[in-house]
Amino acid sequence: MSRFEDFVDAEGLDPGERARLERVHELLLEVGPPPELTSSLTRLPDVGGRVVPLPTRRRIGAAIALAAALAAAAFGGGYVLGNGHGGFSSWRVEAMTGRNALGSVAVGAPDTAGNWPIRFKETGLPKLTGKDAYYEVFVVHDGKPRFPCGGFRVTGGARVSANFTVPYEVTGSTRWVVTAIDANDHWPGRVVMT
Amino acid sequence: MVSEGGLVGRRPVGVPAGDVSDGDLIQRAGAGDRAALETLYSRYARSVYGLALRRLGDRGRAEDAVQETFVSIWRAAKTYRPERGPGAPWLYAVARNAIVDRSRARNEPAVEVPEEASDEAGPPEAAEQSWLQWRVHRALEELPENEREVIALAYWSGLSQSEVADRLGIPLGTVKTRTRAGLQRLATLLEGEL
Repeated sequence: MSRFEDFVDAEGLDPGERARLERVHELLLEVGPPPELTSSLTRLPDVGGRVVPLPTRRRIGAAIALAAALAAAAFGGGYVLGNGHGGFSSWRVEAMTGRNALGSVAVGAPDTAGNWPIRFKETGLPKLTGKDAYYEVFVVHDGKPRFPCGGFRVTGGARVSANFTVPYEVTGSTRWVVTAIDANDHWPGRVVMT
Repeated sequence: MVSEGGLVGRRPVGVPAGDVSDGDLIQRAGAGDRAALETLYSRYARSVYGLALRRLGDRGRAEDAVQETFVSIWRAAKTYRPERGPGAPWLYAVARNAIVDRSRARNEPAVEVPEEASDEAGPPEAAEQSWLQWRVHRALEELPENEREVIALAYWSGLSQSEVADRLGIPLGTVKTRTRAGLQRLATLLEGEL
């Protein structure tokens, strides 16, 4: 059943109006129905709390300075964990801050199996005193550190660059935190950088 | 077939649309007005999701693409210039780019051959079809609920007009009246496409 007359009571329509409605009728048949929204799409997803301002000259300068400092950290006083010491082409970079600490998470393109390379850099985190204490980078889910990306230690004052590979899909809204884990902190530890 | 939870049922939550144009809403979103973004979401979530599903072929990836599209809209809204054109094509371009980016980020080909709207690589017919689908699905969002319901059941459920009447518990004449009224409203909304 696709005839116009099967759908619409065309009685009394003048030819011009009928032609107009017939075109809409054909369009509806042509494009098909819109998809059913899944429950996760019935509300506006999290788009972040603020509009990211376009960089001003001053911010660009600060960003260049920070990037230079972090690059120097990678090749200078810092050390690298894991693999991937070569060039790192990032798909997304997220800045992180903590008390007296600055950091960033850079995400590269995933391989065909869905492994996402992540390069984490930080400077300023204090050395943890516990014997087995360390820091862990997590993906945030439902507002909590949920999926671990990898752990690292610092020597205090030193800059750190750590490479991880994670199997979790990274989207434009993925967020990370760094937690400190020692004998007094239950998993996933205290959040020290967001 | 259209399920009861589809076009007829579940709808995104947003601020009442009123007569505010898409372009005005984009500008308000650019100024940080989240309610304006929510209204855009209520107008365009289905269109974006439909476009993403068609191109990515996977519900999970399409859901992520919807989120990324609205993150992009939120971030890029202040770059929108109303003097360059209305809001719908701008939103379509942002959505298309976010979906293509998602496809590239996964190192996987899109299900469709990627088209670049009307003037670049890819089959022009496919680009035109995507745009048409976008416009028609968007226009459906503007219909009163009772007209949209009747049109969805009549056109995409496989039910006859009499069966639609039985299903909704309304007289056959009312089904025909609402269908005709809905088509007339769509014809006005889709003026440029007819």
